[in-house]
Amino acid sequence: MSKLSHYVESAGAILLAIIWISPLLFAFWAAFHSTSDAVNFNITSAWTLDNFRTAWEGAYYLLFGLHFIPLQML
Amino acid sequence: MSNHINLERRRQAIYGWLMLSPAALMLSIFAFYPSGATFFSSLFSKHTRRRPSEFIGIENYNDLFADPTFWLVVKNNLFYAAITIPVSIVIALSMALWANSKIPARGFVRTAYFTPTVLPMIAAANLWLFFYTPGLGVLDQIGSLFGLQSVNWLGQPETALWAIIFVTIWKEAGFFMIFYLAALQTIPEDYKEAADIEGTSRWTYTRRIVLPLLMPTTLFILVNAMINSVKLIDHLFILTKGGPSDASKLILYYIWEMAFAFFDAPHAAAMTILILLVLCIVAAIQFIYLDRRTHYQ
Repeated sequence: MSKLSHYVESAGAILLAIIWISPLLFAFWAAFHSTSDAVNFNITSAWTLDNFRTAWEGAYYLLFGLHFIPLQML
Repeated sequence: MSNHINLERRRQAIYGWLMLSPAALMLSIFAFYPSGATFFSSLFSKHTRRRPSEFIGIENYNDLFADPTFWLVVKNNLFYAAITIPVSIVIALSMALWANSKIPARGFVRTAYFTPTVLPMIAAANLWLFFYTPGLGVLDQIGSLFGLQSVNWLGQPETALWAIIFVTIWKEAGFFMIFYLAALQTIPEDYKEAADIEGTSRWTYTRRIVLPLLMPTTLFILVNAMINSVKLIDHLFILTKGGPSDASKLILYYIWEMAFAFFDAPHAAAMTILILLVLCIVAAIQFIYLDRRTHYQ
C-alpha cells in the first residue's frame, strides 16, 4: 500500500516537474532552430546556431558585460 | 557616583543611536521621505503652464473614488491576489514536500521547480507571449492537435487576466518552494521517528507537526506574495499593456500610466498613498493577528 502511494507520489512529482520545466525546454529547443521550424514544431528539423549569431550581432553584449562589472562592484 | 552612572547611560545611548543610524538613514532616504513627499504632492492639483498647482486637499482622492477605471483596477488586483496567493502557496508547499521526500530524480525535480524563478521577468513574459499567440503560439498548436478552436488568450477580456495569473503562478511557486524546502529541512528527524513509533498516519503527521512548524514560513511567504501581487508590472508591459478594455490592468500599471502616460502626477501620488495605507493595514493585521497563532521554534 505504502509502496504504491510512493510510486504514485513520485510520478506526480516528476510529472509536475516536467510540466513546470517544459516552457523552458521548448525555449532551449527553439533557440537552436530556425524561426519557421521553431514556430511550426518541426521536431526533426536541423539544429543551428544562427539565432545566437544574430542575437550576438544585434547588440553590444561585450560592452553590456563591461557595464555589469561596476554595477556588481557597488 | 550618580554622575558616573549618568555618564555611562549617556554613553550607552549614544552607542545605541550610532548603531541605529545607518539603517535609520537609509530608511529615511528611501522609504520615509518618499512616502511623505508623495503624500504631500497628492494634496495639490496638477501643474500646467496656465494654471499653477494649488492646494486642493483631498480633491484628488475624491476624483479617484469617482473614477470607474480605478475601481475596475482595484477589482482586478483583488481577484489577481485572491487567485495567485493561495494557489502558488499550495503548489509551493506540495513542491517542497515532494522535493524533500525520497523520490527518484530528486535533483531534476528540484531544478525543474526552481528554474522559472531564475528567469528575468521580461524574458518570462516574452516566452509566454509567444505561447499565447493565437494561431502560431504553442498553446494553440497543442490545442489544434486535439481539434480545439484557436483562442486569443491575451486578446479577450475574459481570459487576459487568467493568462497573467497563470504566468505569475508558474514563476512564483518555485521561489516560495525554496523557503518551504529550507524550513522543512530544519524539522528534526526525531519527530518523524516519534510519530512512526506512535503509529501516526502520514497525513496526521503532516497536518499536526509539519504544517504548524511551517507556519512562520507561511506567514513570511504570505506577506511576500501579497507584496508581489501589488508589485506586478513587468508582465503587463510585455503581455497585455493593461489588456483589452482594462481587463488585465493592475494597480501599479495604472499608477504608472497615470504618472507617465497621462502625466497626471498628483492622481498617481494619491493612488500610491492609498496602496501604502492598505498595505500597512494588511501587514499590521498579518503580523499582529497571525503572529499570535504562529508557533516559532
